[in-house]
Amino acid sequence: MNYAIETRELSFSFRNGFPVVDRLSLQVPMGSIYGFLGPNGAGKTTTIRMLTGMLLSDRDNIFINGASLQKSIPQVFEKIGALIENPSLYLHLTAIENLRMITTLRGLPKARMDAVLEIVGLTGAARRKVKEFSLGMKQRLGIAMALLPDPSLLILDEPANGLDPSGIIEIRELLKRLNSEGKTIFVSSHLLAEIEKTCTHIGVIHKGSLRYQDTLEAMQQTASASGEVVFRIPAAAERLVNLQGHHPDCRQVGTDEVLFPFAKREDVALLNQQLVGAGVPVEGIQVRGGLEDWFMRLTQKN
Amino acid sequence: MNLFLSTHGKTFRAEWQKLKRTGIFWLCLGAALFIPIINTLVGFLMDADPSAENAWGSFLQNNFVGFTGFFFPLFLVITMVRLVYLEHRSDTWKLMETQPVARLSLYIVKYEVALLISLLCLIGLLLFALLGGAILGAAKPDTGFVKSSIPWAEVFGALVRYWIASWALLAIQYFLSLLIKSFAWPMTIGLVAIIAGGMFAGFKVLGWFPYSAIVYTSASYKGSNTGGFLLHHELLSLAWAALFLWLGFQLFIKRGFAAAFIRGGRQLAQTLGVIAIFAILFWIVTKPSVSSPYAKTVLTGTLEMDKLPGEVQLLQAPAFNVVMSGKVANGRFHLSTDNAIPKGIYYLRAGSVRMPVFFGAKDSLHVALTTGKRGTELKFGGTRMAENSFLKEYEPGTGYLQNYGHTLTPFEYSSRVMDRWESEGKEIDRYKTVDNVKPAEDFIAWQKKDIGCIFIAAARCGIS
Repeated sequence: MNYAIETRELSFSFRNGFPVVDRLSLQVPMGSIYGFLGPNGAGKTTTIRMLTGMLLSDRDNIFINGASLQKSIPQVFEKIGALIENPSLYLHLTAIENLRMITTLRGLPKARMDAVLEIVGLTGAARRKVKEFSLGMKQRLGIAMALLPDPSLLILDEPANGLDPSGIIEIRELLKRLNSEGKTIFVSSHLLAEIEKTCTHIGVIHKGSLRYQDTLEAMQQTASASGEVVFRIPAAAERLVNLQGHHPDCRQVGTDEVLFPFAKREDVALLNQQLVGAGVPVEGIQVRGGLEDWFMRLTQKN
Repeated sequence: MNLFLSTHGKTFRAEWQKLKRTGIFWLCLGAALFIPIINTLVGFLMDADPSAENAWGSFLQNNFVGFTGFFFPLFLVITMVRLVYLEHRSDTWKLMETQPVARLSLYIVKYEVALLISLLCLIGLLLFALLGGAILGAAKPDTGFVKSSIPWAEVFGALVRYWIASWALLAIQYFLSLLIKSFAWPMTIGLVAIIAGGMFAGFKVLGWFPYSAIVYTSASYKGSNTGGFLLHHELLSLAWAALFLWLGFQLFIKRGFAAAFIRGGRQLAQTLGVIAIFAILFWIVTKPSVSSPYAKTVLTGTLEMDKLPGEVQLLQAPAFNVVMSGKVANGRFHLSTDNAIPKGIYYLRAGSVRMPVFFGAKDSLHVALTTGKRGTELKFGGTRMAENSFLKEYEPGTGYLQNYGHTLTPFEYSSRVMDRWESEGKEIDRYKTVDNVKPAEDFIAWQKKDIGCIFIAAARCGIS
């Protein structure tokens, strides 16, 4: 399979030796919108900085469109547009002047400036100084800057950060439209709902390591299939040792509540049968599942 | 390298576009305008100097020297810090680093833009000074601007040398601005260094200090006496610039002082290697040269006088007997002898002019003698250039002894004589011409003895 981005056991530590990125093997299929999901501090921005060559990997283990990043910097940026952390803009210049600077630098036709301004809906603000822009406008101009070279790969770090709901919807629609034009989009976020609404593929990072990576459908199936069930059992504390003998993963979560993780929905009924059969008085059952629970479980593990 | 060459022009144009609305062009205009306005105003308010040889020459020199003492270095510091802070403020480094252009190009282009702004500022100063001179000449004909011509070669030479002297300062400020991601600190360091550089140059110490280079160019505004173009402090400015540009580039690509210079054996070895190369360059440039004896004893020269004499003579004190003589043809003369004439002070006589020169056997000295409104001026070249330049500039510090010697006790008097003698001896040891040529040891020994005589003579005056 051809990957727009592929990393092989990518690692990075700062000087204190603490691994910020730990053996990360990303596979971003061409033509996908890949959501790189993780809580704040998970290592998303560090990974993106490595993917754009701003942080150097000791090993040759990042590949863009099949070619080694180390060997193809900076020419690789001919076809990459990137927005890393906050949009990098010259605040003293107008929107069009910011775009003109990059157009000059890359030797692009001037018509691209108007085209990208229209794409991000900033045509009317082209001649306004960027320091007068709202955060959302800056974010959109940042995306416009990334779109200038008409890249085949867009790398966007939290593009919806600081946007109001309508701005978030606009960005979402924009990403879908760009993807439909054939661009691969790698977008990081800490918002599960946002990723779920936008992406075709998902990678979950937590504490620097990749906890999950697959298509959106596969993730939804996994998330809905697995989960946790809480059984209401009187005098749970007295029965816990006995229960853990048969189910080592279970734990007490309330005075009369014991939680059991499950991998398949069918396991809940089976578990109930086992408990009742063993004489445990089950007074109630509450199944916890869905995407958010799944994500929380994934990112609460060490 | 191919990528650098193919993209550098575009990178430069893009960097130039960033300057819009930064105020740098207004600052450049203001900086270039300020001193010419003051000097033009002074020209209106003061009486014209009747002794000025060339009104344009001295007016332009006053503008350059006035501007470059403080305002020019300050302008350069502000410009360089501002250029780098543009990127720090909005963290636009990451935008630039994700463009398909060579890292070297991204790095060096800021320095090139700063160099261009520095040159534009100097050109602006020259244009405004020319305008000021033209206004003065038109409004006050007695200022002499109408009669004199603009010394283009001298002023362009000075402009280019000022520009090159600014390279070190810009490179160091660039390095500092990359190292310290703030506006205030590199500015403060730059300001302190400018003041220190001016003071060092004033006291003629630490001549290698890079922030002194521009001041030294002012001190040698008319340039080399030996026909060279760049003086040693300007060459040193280029060496400093090369070192700090390399250091800055390491900082730029490795992001952090430790990673750039000291982390890992290879990095440390590379840093030390480059510093060693710089140290060699530094030694080559700063080591003063001493003229070697010539095979023959020759004295040549040119004369610029209202009435040219038919003959030039070299006279020996005290009886002023003629040691060498020769005819003057087309304002030029050539004297030579096979006699082993001793080293010492002789007098060059050309018509009514009699000027002292240090000379001796196996010396080849060239003298350019000019007489004008300001009196007689001598310029020297050849084996005794440094010695004669020293004598021309030397003024013994005997004033206090002559004026107040009678108030001192014999012990105080002798102590003061000894202190002055030692101090002036050290001054001779330190003396170098603008071309970094040092007097020969025989002259230094001779001059130290001569100073002894001067102070003994001063003692007689002071006691009587």
